[in-house]
Amino acid sequence: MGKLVRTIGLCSFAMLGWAVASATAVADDGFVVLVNEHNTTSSMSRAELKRAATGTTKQWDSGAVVQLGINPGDAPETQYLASLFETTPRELLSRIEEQVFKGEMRRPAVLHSSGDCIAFARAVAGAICVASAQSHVPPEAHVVTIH
Amino acid sequence: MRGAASAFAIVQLTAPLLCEHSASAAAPSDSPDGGTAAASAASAPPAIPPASQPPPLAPAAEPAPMAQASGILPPPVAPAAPPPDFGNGGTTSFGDAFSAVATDTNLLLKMYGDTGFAVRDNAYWPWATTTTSNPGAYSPGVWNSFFTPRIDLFGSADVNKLSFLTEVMFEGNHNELSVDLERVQLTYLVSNWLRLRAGRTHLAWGYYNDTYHHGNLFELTTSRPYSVQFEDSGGIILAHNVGVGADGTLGDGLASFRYDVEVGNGHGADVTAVSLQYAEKNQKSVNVRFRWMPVDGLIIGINGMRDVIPTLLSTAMGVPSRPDTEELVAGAHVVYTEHSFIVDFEGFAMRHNPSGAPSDDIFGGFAEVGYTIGAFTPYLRPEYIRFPASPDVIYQYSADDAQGIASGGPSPYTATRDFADLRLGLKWAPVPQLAFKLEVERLSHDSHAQDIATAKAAFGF
Repeated sequence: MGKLVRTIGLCSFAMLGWAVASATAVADDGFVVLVNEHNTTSSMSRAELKRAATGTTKQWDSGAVVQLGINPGDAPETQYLASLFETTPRELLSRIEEQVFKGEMRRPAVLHSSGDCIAFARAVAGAICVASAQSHVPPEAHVVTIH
Repeated sequence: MRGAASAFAIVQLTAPLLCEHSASAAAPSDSPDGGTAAASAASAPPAIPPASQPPPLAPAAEPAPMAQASGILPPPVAPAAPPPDFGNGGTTSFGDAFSAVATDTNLLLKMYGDTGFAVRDNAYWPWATTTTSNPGAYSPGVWNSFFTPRIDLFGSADVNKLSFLTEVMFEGNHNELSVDLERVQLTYLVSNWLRLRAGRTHLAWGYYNDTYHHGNLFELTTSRPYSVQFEDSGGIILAHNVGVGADGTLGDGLASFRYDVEVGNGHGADVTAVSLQYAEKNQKSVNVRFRWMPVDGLIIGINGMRDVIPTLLSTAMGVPSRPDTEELVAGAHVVYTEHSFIVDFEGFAMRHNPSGAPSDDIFGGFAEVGYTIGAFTPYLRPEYIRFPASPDVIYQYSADDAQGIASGGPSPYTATRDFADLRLGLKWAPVPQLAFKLEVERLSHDSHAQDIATAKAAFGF
């Protein structure tokens, strides 16, 4: 009986934590990073993401050339991406323009919504972009966990 | 906070294992309506709509995009099913051939330029008998002038692993317009550790030289440090490489490295020109740069370069020719560009070994420090160059010797042992396309000095 109570208690605590964690992930971030289905990357650190988004990493392990898709200005997706790098959208966009001017990265594709990001991730083998966590991810794209 | 997040992640993973049935009952639905991508990222498989379902595309009714207006981004993608074309081999949706090519090659065209006003106090400047053709700027006394000296046309295009980049500069030269092909760069990406490039590029030297090009918009200051100025503006380090090169990044994290190797025409006999069409010698310049990037934003690098500057035959009676000269240069740089800091320390040591004459050495360096607060970046840049006691055979020419005759004037470093430049300024970038710069500068040649105040607007559209 005691073992059953402990198990139920542990399960309840774990379920509560899981539910809170799920809710927190959405509430705190609200966005996910998407890549093409053929991209074998399943998780990245923030530093790795930054290297990919600003031209240091030029090619994925799958062989595709990294192609950033980004929402303009102060779009929530860009704010989220900039926050991962502890910078502002303006500084991030300036950095990207500088890198394009330098020849270190190809110019990003402009996106206007999470739907655009999903379509972009589906269509371009080397795509990487940010979409709302509420978006439905099609089989031609997948989410990269950022840690 | 990260620890808490990790704990939550562990709970997320363990909860369904501990309470399989309960979890499946209590977990958010994986259905397209109830599941979220964030949840799916942590619990595979992700929420996936039916394969036949078209991708959800939001209407493009957003306000005018800042980044698109800044020109770094291509035109917006039409949000209509079937999935829009993102270039790079996709089917084009434009009717005319130029647009079709532009779309398939991800073509980008931009323009950079600057304009401003400068006041120069040359009261302590010994330009008594200068032969410069720009007397308003360099004669003794106080002079002021507006300037709009250049417009830079920048283009780039990509097709899969092949990239093309060009900069064509229209610039004022003695108050006349001249055209210069500043960069023509063809690049092929083999992998992250190997990228091949050919054409006219900026030499991979230090940090400043190939980070900042002709678009002054990106630079903190109103102009480049003297040591890495362009060849026709009194630069000491070779600025451009006409030839081939390779670069790549290796490792990750603490063991993150980058290398650059370049072989090119190097200097011509006239060191103020770039040998863009043919070399005046058979020996090629070789440049190597190696960088260690242990943490985000930090770069610690070293350089080594060898070149041979060919004999410059004098065109005037009684003026001796300059002998062919080996040039050896070593350099180091430490850069940090994160957390609103822009810190760039660079130094170099140069040796000239002229045929039949004694060697001499030049040492120099600069430190550029800025800190960004919102749209404002105050900055400071001291620079110092130490020339040999007897004039350097290459860069300290007078108006009357072979190099001075070839380039139409004396070197900025003539008859100077200690050359120093100190700049203090403020960069204000109210919008990404425009930066205003206010700067005061003291330029010293030994005991002589020139004070300059500059207001500049640098732009890129």
